[in-house]
Order: sequence, then structure tokens, then C-alpha cells
Amino acid sequence: MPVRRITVTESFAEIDLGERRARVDYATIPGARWSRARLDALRDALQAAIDHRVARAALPDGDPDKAADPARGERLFWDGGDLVGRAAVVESVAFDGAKPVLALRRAR
Amino acid sequence: MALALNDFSGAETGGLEETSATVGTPSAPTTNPRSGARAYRLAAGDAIEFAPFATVADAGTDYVVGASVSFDDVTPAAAVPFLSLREGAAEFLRLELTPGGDVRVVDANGATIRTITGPFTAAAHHFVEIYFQHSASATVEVFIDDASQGSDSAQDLTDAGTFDTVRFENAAASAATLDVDDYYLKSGATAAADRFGPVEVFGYQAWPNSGTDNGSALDVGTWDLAGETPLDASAGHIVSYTANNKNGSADSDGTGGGPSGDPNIDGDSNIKAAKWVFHARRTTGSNSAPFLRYGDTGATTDSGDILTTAFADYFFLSETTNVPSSSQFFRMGGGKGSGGRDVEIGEMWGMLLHVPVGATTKTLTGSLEAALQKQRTLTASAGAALQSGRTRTADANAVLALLRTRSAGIEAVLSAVRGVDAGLEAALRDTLSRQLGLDAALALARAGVVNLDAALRRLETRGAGLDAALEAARSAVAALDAGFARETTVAATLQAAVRATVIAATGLDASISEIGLRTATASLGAVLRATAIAGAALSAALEFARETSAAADAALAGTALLGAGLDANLDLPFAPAGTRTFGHGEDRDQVITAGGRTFVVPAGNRKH
Repeated sequence: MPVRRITVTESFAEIDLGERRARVDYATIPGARWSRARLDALRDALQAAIDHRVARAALPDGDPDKAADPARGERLFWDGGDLVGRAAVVESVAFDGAKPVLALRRAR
Repeated sequence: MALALNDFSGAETGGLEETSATVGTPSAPTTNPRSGARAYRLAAGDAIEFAPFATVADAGTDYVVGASVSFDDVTPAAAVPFLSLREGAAEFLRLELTPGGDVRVVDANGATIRTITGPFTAAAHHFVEIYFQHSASATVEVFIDDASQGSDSAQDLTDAGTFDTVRFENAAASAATLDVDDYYLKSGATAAADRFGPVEVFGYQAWPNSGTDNGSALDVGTWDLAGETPLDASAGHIVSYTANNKNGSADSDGTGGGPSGDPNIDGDSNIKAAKWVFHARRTTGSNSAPFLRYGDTGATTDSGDILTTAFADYFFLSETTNVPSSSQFFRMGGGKGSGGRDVEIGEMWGMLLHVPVGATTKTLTGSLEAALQKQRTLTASAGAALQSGRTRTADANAVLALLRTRSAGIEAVLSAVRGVDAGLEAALRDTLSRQLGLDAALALARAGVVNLDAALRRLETRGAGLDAALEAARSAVAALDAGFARETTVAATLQAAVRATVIAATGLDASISEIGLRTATASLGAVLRATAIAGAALSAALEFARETSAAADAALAGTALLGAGLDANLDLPFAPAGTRTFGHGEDRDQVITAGGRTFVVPAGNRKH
């Protein structure tokens, strides 16, 4: 799993990916309490921060992934108009009473 | 399938790269490593998982999993299920630390297989290994610090799924901190002896000799900066191959590199495997078939086209191929063909699985080296002996010819011996026949002895009867003797009476002539009284004599009867000569009591 370190505080969650960090401030997630919906929203925000997304239209001519979905499982696939590279999956986000708890796994 | 090492990790990347999943905020600090520089740290509620077959395929049951664990509190407030083996999310084998400080082994149904009493001390690493079968009737044996804690069989260790996950975790309710280090997993095992024992994991990441030092030039990037701290791609600290048909590598030969020069590595035979880890990606563009390169300073292997556009971690593991020896370094890099896709490498790590030399291993190694030297000496001797043997082969052939000539003579002798053998066989058959005759005669003799024994017993019975008859006869003779004595006494009395009568008559004659008539009359009266007394005595004597005579007659009749019995006994058969040797009868006097009297029968008077 391309994660060096995971940091979760009462104000943000950050996933250190080595070459960069995927960070989400809770303040950017609508809602004040950790409802299920808000936890899911945090999960989606973290996943988006992890993903490497390139518009297919921006791919160089001659790139095979521009013409066809590479369909390499969760690791490289088309999502709408984008080519998505995903190394880690945010499986779930729970709340332990004090702060969110992240469950991550390696993309398959 | 053959025994295979599928995975190992010692947190030496400094991060969570080698894990397949996490829960919470586990980390890999330098706080409490067992070997190498780091260990995984799990706070309350944290978990890490490994996908052991993601790199090396599962060789099938049986399995060995090992890892070092350290709790800062070995009596946690709540049970800590610290090691869990799973089929996806389904757990089929678990070890948990109880609040009492014991370790419980739990099966797929949540049932306790075994409880290990107080095996851990606080804040100290303990190496736990489990040899197990993934089946519904499995054998499982837990080792702690290389010591077996007991084996259990016929245990349910499956949920009918595929074993794919090794999970270390700390309970949310626990206040203890759990450190995990030196994890490994093997498949295709056949016995608990297939485990490694306590292993060590060392990581090497110092790549100072980048660029032109190794193979083709690395076109861009500064390998010297590929340190353990994650680097920021935006800062340009990414090794990248951007030109067509470029490739290269770097060696882990910087300060702190290895394994060459690492004092922890105590021999090539103790290096069990190598693991190469890349944090890398490719760019977009036409396909240049980008690849990763890994191996040792002797040889390398290039991967296939596996990179994607997102930075990900790539793992290569080998027990044999291109595993650095103790005098080599890791060599890692990458390259591309012709095309738009470049290779970008953020980080590289070389990991070594090592089993430290124990006293036993050292001893065995010394013995093996000595044996090897002896083997070499013996090989040289064997070579010389072989040459000598060839020389002697010619001699042996000559001897063989001579032996063949003599073989004919031996065969003739053998034929004669066979003739003798036939004669011996006939003699043997005759002897056996005679033996059968002797056996029959012996049986007959034994029957005769039985009959003689019976006759002897009858003779002994009749001898006792003869003894009694003899005694009765003697008693009768004694009675006759007594009767004769009494008759003698009576006769003497009668004679005295006659003499007195004669004397009285003489006196009467004298009185008549000398004293006168009265005197004579008085004397006559006295004589008459004396005569009457004598007559009474005579009558009594006669009566007694009659009684004695009757007794004598009776005794004579008894004696005649006994004589008849004696005659009858005298008709009994005498024992054959030699019969007394069977132990019946003894030559001694016999004492008989009859009629209040005791008689001694001398041995010579007895009939046997």
C-alpha cells in the first residue's frame, strides 16, 4: 500500500503517499456532527485526494489509454472522461467518539 | 507444492508500504525494533494486514507464520486479539492476549484450542510462530521464542474460503501498545520443522553511487537524495528515465548500505531471502514498455510492464535468484524502451530476511565445514584409489580366469558332495525310523512301569495284613505259654498234695503202731482234712487246667486260621527283582501294637 503514514486529528486527516500527501480538512465536509453521511463524504474526499486523475482528452496522442480503457482493476481505469490511477482504496471511515478512524487497503 | 517463502516484513521502509491494509493510524517508528531500525506500532484500535500471496503464489497448506510482538502492558484491560489469520474478513485462527496475561489460541468457531500461560513480559519482544494446516481437521502448534507451546490436532481452522490475510491488531478497548516486527509467512510446509525460528529483517536504502557508477546513466534525478524520508516529486527528487532506451540502476553501497559490510549478517547461509520494494510510476504517452530492475551486484532481473500512472509500491521477493550475498549489495533501477512513457522512481528499498546464527547452527556449521574438508580429502584419496583400482583390474582379470578354471574342479567336488549328501539323507531317514521304534518301546516300558507301580501298591497293602496276622499269632502263642505255666503250677500243687498224703499215711501207719488208736484216729482226722484240702486244691487245679486247655484250644484254632491266612499270603506274587528301586518299602524293622502289646518285626521277616 503506497502509504507511509496516516495522521488523523480532530481537524483533519492526512495520508502520506510518499511523493505527496492527501489531506482533507473536516471543515470542508458539510455538516457539524459525524453522521454516517458525513463520514462517507470524508471517505470520498480522501479517495479523491489519493487518486491520480488525468482527463483522457489531455493524454498525449499515441497513449493507448486514451483510446481504450486499460481496465487494470482498481489500479488503472477509466472513470467518465478521466483516466484514474489508484494505488490505495479508502475502505471505510468510522467514528470512535473522538475522531474519524480510517480503514485503507492496497488497490487490487 | 514445494515449500515457499511468500512474504516478510520488518517495517524497514519506515512506513506502511508493505502492508496491504490498515485500520486507524498505525506507524513504523524507530522506538522499539527487534531487528533492523523499525517496528510497526499499533495503538488501541489499530490494525495492519499483509497479503502474503500477492507477490509469491500460495504453495498450499501447511503454513508457518512468524512475527515478533511486544506489549507495553501484558495484562491489558481488555483481551487483545493480536494475530488473526483470515479468509478475507472471516477469521479462522487467532491469538489473543487475555487480561490475565495468557495467550489464547482460538479456532474458526471462536472456540479456545489452547491457553498458554503468561508467556510475555512487558515491553519485550517475543517471537511467535504458528505451524498450522488450513483445514477443518487441522494440526496447529504455537511456538514462542523458539519453544513449542504444544501441538493440537483435529481443529477447525477454516471457513471454507481462501487464506489470504495475516492481520495484526490491537483492541480498541486496550490501553496497551503493540509493536510488531520481523513478520514472515511460508506455505507448502510439511512439518513444524519447516519454520525458520526467530528471524531478522534488515533494510538497505542508501544509494549514493547513482548515475554513472552503475550501468547506463540515470538521465535525471539525484539518487543521493533517495533517502528514507519520502521525497516530494514536485521538488524533482524523483529518479526518472526520460530518454528512449535508457536504463540503469544503483547499488545500496552508501553509508549504512548493505548487506556487504553489515555486521548483522553473519554468513551467506543465514540469508534466507531478499525483497525489493519500489515506490514508482510511469508517465502517460505512447507505450515504451517501462520496467523496474532488481537484483544484486552480480546480476539483475527486469520486470514486465507493470507500472501505472499513480505512484504505487511494487514488490519482488526471491529466496535464491539474485539474492545479495554477504559480500554484495542490492542493485535496483529501471528503464524504458522507445516511447513517451517515462519511469519515475520515488523510493527503493532492499530488504533481507536473515536467521541469526544460534549456538546449534554454529556448531553444525563447523561440523559441516569439517565434514566438507574431510570429504575433499576422501575424494582425493578416492581418486588415487580409483587409479590403483584400474591397475589392479588387469590382475583381477587374470585371477578371474584362474578362478574359472578352479571353478570346474569345485563343481566336481560339489557333485561328489551331493552324492555323499544323498547317503546322509538315507541314513538320516533310517535313523528317524529307528527313533520312531525307540519311541514306541519307550511308551510300552512306561506303561509297564505304571503296572508295576500298581502291583507294588497291592503288595504293600497285603504285607500290612500279613503283619497284623503274625502279631495275632504271636499273641495266641503267648496265651498258650501262660496256660502251660498255670498247668505246671497246678501239677506242682497236686504233687505236693500227694506227697503230703503219703507223709500223712506214713504217719498214720506209725501212729497206729506207736501211739494208739485215739491218736491214730486224730491223725487220721487230720489226714482226712489235709486230704480234703488237697482234693479241693486238686479240683481247682483241674478246673483251671480245663479252662487253660479251652483257651489253648481257642488259641490253637486262631493260630490255625492265621496259618491259613499266611498260607494264602504266601501265594501272592513276589515283586520282580529291581522293583524296590521305585521307592516302595524300606529295609527297616516294623513296630506293631496289638492287644495292648508291642511287637517288633525285623526287616528280614517281612515280605515285600
